[in-house]
Amino acid sequence: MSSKFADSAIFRRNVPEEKIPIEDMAFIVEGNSAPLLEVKDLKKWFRVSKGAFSSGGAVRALDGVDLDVRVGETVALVGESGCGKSTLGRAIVRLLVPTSGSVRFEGENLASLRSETLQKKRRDMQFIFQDPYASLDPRMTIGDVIAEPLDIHRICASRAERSSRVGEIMETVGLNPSYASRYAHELSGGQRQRIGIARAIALHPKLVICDEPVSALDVSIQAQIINLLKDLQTRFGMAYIFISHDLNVVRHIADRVCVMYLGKFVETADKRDIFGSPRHPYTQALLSAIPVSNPRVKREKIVLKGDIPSPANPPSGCRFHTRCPAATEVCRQVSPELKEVAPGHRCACSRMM
Amino acid sequence: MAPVDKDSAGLFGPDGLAVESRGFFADSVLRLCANRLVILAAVVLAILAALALFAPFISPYDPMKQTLADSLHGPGAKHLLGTDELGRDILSRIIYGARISLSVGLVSQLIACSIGVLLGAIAGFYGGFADTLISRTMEIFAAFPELLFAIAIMFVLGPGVINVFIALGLLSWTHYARLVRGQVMLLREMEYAQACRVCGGSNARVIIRHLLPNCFSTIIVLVTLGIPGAILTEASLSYIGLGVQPPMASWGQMISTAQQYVSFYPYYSVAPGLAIVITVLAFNIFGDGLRDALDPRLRR
Repeated sequence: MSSKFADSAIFRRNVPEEKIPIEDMAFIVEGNSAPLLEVKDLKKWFRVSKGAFSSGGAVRALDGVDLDVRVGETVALVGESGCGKSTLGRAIVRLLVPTSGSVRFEGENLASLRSETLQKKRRDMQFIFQDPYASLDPRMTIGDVIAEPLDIHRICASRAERSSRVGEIMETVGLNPSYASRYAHELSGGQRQRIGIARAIALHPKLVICDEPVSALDVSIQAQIINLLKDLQTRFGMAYIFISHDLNVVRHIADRVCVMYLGKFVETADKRDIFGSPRHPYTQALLSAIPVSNPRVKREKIVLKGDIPSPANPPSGCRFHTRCPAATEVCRQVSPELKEVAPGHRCACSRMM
Repeated sequence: MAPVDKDSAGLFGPDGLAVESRGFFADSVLRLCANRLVILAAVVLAILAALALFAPFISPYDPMKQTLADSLHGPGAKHLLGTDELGRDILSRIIYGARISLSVGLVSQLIACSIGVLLGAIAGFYGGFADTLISRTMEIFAAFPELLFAIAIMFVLGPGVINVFIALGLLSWTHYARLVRGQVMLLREMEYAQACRVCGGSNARVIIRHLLPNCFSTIIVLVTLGIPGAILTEASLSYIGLGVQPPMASWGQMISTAQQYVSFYPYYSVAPGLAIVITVLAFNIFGDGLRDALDPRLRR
């Protein structure tokens, strides 16, 4: 680890249990200008075999993505299903091995790390899964599920220490520690998702990737879980990559938003800019699709025609031109780059330039 | 960890959870006991196991002791199931035969299970070349007619109980391998397996802690349903003289000998035949019940 990250490391190991005022957090974020996570031109292509004698094509699930995440911030990835949000999340923690590009965590390229070093790095990067049912082993007690990361990294010296740590973590996420000897199938969806969160924060990671953590839950439970995630962030100073297709949730939790379409970012900006002055036609269409609670408010909805094209055979030029209400001849031919249109606000649309 | 409160009167505690927290096995046993036929089969199997274990204390005569004067006696007070051509007590020979049949069934399936689970897990988890190699080997093994294959192995190894274990083990490992391979391929994509890898868990940990325990119920059912097949194959091998060698008692071999006397002394073949039928039936019923009880879809 290079010296400029030492400060944050000391801070993390020594004071993880105490509440840290938000102002202090902001100071830490400012003080650490180098990003925690740096993703450069990341690509993940899935080869498709058509048969024994032809090699077939490739599904370009992720086609050149750059992403920086700073200490303690929340970056939301939004987009339709199939646009590559989850693939990006999984490629970052190396659940999927990227086809090309680099993922640097605290300045170290994860692809070049040997497996033992990668295993140590994994303490600092955790994942919260979408499905609170499939993500918990039905054969394990809740205590064992939460203790698994502790076991893998051999953190607890004794069984007594292990169970007291598990109890502590369970209280942190709002679970009754007496549930530790129960099985996951005895609990509700919201409680199960709390277990998933408990497992993810057990090692006090610096980055947590939340892959649609609330989309399988009731709306009332969603709010509880989102608030829990926000509390934990204030307490432990974790950075989140928050994958979602629900813009209302994103508005509530994100600091920055990246809008994805067919394996590429089309617009990235601060939350305020994305929701206040969206530039890309796709972002505008997504925002106009958010339901409004007041039925008297009339709004002009931008309805996109057709389906998301197949990532195995993406359209030429701008990938969005087949559905874009403002597409021109240029869009059909030139693939727009992500360009800064305002400070901190980047957009990939030929009409912006 | 606080103990679970079991004193509460209702089924559900104030926290809305079932008061009695039942583990996987307690839950399955409970469901298993709900089926009366399965209980009957379990009782039969328990009796068979007791007969095999305590054969020297239970059997009325020494199964090897020949009394030529009493040969081919029908059932009576002295010999409950009669005697064979050498005057040996058939009941005693059947009790001792249970030892052979049960041990052949269990040991051969345990051998098959160990080979099959190991290779199946490797093939399913790693895929690629390992999978191709193991799957093709499996197909080659499965392409042989079972009995012919067993005969060939016994021919190479020579007759004897240990060799029957090995032959039957080699015969049926493909069933386990194929099943475990499929299950592991399915389960390795489950999010809980991926969660283990994100935490830094090794492949071995994912397989041993997560994948195999979740295959366990299917494996145990396959063992239970594999045992009767092995018992039948052992009986067939002994019948044609390649299995257990005389004077040791085996049900298949008894039927084989009894065949010569079937026209004028049918009792001789009925007793070992019934023993085989009852044992195989009990295992099959118990295995079926076990499959129902362990089916995860029936769990709350």
